[in-house]
Amino acid sequence: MGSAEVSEGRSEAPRRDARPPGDGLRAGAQGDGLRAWLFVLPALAIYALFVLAPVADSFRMSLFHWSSAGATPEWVGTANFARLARDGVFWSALWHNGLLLGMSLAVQIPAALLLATLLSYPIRGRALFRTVFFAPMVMPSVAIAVLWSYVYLPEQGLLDGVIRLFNASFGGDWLGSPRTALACVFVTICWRFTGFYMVLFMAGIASIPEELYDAARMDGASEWECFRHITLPMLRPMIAVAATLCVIGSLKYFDLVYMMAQGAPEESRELLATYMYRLAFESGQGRFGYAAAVAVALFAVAFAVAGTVTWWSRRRDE
Amino acid sequence: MRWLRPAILAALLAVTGYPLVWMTFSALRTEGDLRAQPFALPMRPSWENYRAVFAGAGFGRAYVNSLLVACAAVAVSTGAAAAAAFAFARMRFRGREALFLLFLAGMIIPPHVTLISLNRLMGPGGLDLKDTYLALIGPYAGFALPMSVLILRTAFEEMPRDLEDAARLDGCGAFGIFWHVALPLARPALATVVIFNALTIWNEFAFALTLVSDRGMRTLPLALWEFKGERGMMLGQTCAALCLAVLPLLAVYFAAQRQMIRGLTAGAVKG
Amino acid sequence: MAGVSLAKVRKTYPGGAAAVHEMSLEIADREFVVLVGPSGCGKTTLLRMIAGLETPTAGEVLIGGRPVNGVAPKDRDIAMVFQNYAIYPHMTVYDNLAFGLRRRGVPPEEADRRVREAAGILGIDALLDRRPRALSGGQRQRVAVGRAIVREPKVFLFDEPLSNLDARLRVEMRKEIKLLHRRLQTTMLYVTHDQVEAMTLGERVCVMNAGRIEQSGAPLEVYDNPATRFVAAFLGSPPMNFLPGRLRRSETRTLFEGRGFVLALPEGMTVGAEAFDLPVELGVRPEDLADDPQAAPQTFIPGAVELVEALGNEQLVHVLCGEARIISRREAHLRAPPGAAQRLVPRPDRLCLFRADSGSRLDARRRTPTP
Repeated sequence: MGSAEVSEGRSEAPRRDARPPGDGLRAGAQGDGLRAWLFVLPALAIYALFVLAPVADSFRMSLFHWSSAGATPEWVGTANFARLARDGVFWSALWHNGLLLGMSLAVQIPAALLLATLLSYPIRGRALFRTVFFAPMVMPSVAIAVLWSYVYLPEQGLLDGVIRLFNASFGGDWLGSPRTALACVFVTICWRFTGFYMVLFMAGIASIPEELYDAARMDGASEWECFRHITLPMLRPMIAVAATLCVIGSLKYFDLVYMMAQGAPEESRELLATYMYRLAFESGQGRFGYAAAVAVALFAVAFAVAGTVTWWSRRRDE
Repeated sequence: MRWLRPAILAALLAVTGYPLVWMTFSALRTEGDLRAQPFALPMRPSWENYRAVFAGAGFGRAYVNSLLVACAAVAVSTGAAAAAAFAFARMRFRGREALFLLFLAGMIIPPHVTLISLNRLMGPGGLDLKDTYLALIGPYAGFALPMSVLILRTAFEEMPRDLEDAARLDGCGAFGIFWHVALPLARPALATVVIFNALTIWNEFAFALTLVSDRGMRTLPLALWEFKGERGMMLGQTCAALCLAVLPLLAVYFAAQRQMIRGLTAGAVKG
Repeated sequence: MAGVSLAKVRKTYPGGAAAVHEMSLEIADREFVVLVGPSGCGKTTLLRMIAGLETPTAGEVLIGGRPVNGVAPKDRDIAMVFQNYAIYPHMTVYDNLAFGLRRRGVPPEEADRRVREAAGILGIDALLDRRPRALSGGQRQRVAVGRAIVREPKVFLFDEPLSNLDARLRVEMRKEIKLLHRRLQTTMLYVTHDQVEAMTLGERVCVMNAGRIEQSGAPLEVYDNPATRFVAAFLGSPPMNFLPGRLRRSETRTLFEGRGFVLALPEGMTVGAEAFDLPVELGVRPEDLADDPQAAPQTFIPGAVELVEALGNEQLVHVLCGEARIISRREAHLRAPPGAAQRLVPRPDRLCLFRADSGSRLDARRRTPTP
C-alpha cells in the first residue's frame, strides 16, 4: 500500500484540502473516496443482494397477479391493494399487530420495571433471578412454541392441570378457540421478552447515583416517593428506548404467533407477517402477488410508525 | 412487608422457570407415566425418550447444519460489517451519511417482507440455491449487517485520533490501521456483535422454513418443528427433543451469561 | 540528521478558518525548538503539517532540504510523540516499540537490537512484556518516546507530551527529554502550551498566537525582551503587569502618565516620536518591582497591599494601585501587611512599553547578555 499512497498523494494533493479538520483519515490517506468505497463494498453487496433487492422486488411483485411458481406473472396494477382494502383478514391482522403493540407496552414494560425495581434492593441471589428471567431470550422461539403448546394442551396441559387443582372446570381448547388463541400466545410472548426489558432497566437503575437516594431519604422520602421522583424520571431515556424497541418489534413479529395459533380460525390468529407468509406459502395456490401486497403494507406500516416514533422522540428531546 | 418483595420475585421465578423444569423432568419419564400423572417427578428416570429421539430424527445432522450456517453467516457479516463500519467511522467520502442511513433502515425492515422475493431468488429461476447452506447464509448475513454496522461504528468512533496518527507514522495505510489497530481495539464490540448474531441466526425459523425443504439440510429449529409435527403427541419424546435443542444453549448461557446478556442488549443501549 | 524549513506555509480549513497564516521558519540540524502558545494558536497544526498528518493549503515543507509536501508521513523520516501517548493498548511494550520497524521491513534482529537499546536508554527494559494497561502514566510516556527513538528518525516531533502527567512527573520527564536531546543529537521540535516547558527545554522558543509566530529566539532573550504585549503576557508566571497610560515629554525626560501617578522613564529607554500620540501600556515583571518607602517623586508607582500569598521561598504581594492590580514578587521574609502603603520602584532597565491597540513594542529592545 505504501508506494501507491505516495504517488496518490502527489496527484491529489490540492483536492483533499476541502476537508474539515480532525475527521476521517485525512492527509496521508488521500483518495479516501475510492478506498472508503472498497471498505463498504462487501457489506453493501451482501446487503443489496439479500435485503434491498428483495424488498424492491416485493414492491414490484405486489403489482402482479402470480398464482404459482411455474406461472407467468400477470400485470394487474393496484388491483391487489384494492382487494386488500376489502379483505377482512388483513384488517384483523393489522388490528392484532396493534393489540400486540398495546399489550407489550402495557404489560411487558411495567412488569419489567417492577422486576428491575424489586431486584434493585439488596437481595440474595440477584444474579440467579436475572439469569433465569433473561433465559427465555436465549431460547429458540420454536422451542418456546413447542413447550408452551404443552402448557395450553387441553386436559393434559400444565394450565388445565393447575386449573384442576382449584377444582374449576373452564378449561378448553386454549390455542384453537378464536376467543383465547391470541391471548394465550401473548402471554407466552410476555414470558419471553419481559426479562429482556428487565435487564435494560436494571442497567439503567444501576447507573443512577446512590447519592440521589441518600439525599431523598434525608429529606424523608418514602420508598414509593423515591421510585416516583428518582427512579422513574432517571429511567425515562431507557424506558423510551424500550418502548421504541417494543413498537418496532411488535410490528415485525412473526414467530410465536405463527407457530402457536395454527389451529385457530384465520380471522382470529393472524398478524401482518403471518398472514403474508400463509398467503404466499400455505394457501395452496401460492398467491405471491397478493402476499407481496401485504408485505408492502407491512413495510409501509413499519416505516410509518418508526418514523413517527423517531420524530416524536426528537421533538421531546428538543 | 419485608417478605413481600422476595415473595413476588419467587413467585415470578417459579412461573418463569417451571416450564423449563417440567420439560427437563418430562423428558425422563415414560409416555404412560406422563399420561397418568402429568406433573409428577421422574422417580425412576428413563432415557428411553432420548434414545427414541436419536433414532432417526436427524438431530445430529441438524446440529451440524445450524453450526455451519451460523458460523459462516456470522463470519461473513461481521467481517463485512467491520470494514464498512470502519469506513463510516474514520473515513470521509461522498454519500457516507446516506449510505449509513440505508444500513440503519435495515433495522426497521420486517425481514419477512423479503421472504417471497428471496424464495424466488433462491429458486430455480434465480440463483438456484435452495437446499444449500448458501440459501440461508446469504440472507442471514444480510439481515445481521445493520445492527453490526451500528455497534461497530460506535466502537470505531471511540478510537482516539492520536492512535490512528501514530499508526500512520508507523507505516500503516488505511487497511493497516483497520487491521492492526482498530479491530483489536474493538474486540469487546466484536464479541457483542458475534454473540448477538450467532444467537439470532441459531434460533431463526421462518427463513429456514421457507428456503430449506431437504431433510438433510434442516437447521435445528426446523428439525424441532418437524419433530413436533410428526411426533407431537409423544410428550416425553418431544420434551427430550426440546431438551436436546435448548439445554446445551442454556448451558452456554449460564456459563457466559454476562457476555450473552450484554450481547443481546447492546443493540438497544447503543441504538 | 536534518533541519526543517517551512516556506510560507499556510493552513486554511474549509469555511475559511485559518489555523496557520503564511509562516516561514528555519530549524537547524540538531536544534531543539519549542513552539509555545495558547490552545488554538495553530502550533499543533504546524507540527502535524511537518509530520504529514495535515496538508498545507499553500507553501512548502522541507525536511533535510527535501520538499516533502506529497510524501506520506511514514516516508518522512520523522517520529512523533503524542499528547495521549497513543501507544497501542492491545500490544506489549515490546511490540509497541517494534511495530513500526516491522511495518518498515527492518530485519527482526536489527529491530530487536534497536528496541532493547531504546528500552535501555529509557529504563523500561523490565517492562517489555507488559501491556500498557499495567503501566503508570510516566512509564507510558517513556514507551511513547521509545517508539520514536527506535525509528532513529532525522527529526523528533513532540506534541504536548507531558500535559497528561502530574506535576512531579512532568519535572522529571522534562529533564529526561532534555538529556535525550543531548544524547541523541537530533533535531527536535516540541509543541506545548506550558511556558515553563518552553523556557526550560528549548534552545530556541517560538511564541505563537492566532496562527502567527509572534517572536522567536533564545528563551531568556524572549523573556527579557518580549517583542509584543502578547509574548510578554504569555511567558512568565505570574504574568507581567501592564499599566495603561500616555507618554508626555518634559524638558529633560520622557514621562509616563498612568492613572493617578507619573513615572519618569529611564534615560536609556528610547521611544519614537509616534508613541506620544497614542494610548500605551507600560509593562513590568513582578520580580522587577521593589517597595522603597524613600523613593523620590516620579520614580515609583504608589499603591496599597491588598493581599499577600506566601509561597515559602518567596511571596507574591498583590498591590492595589488605583483601579489597577499589580503583583510584586519578593523575598519571603519582607513584611507587607494588608493595607500598607507601597512605593513600587521598577528596575529601570526592565521596563517595556507597548502600543495599547496593537500590542507591539514601542521602545527599542535591548540585547540581553547571554549567560
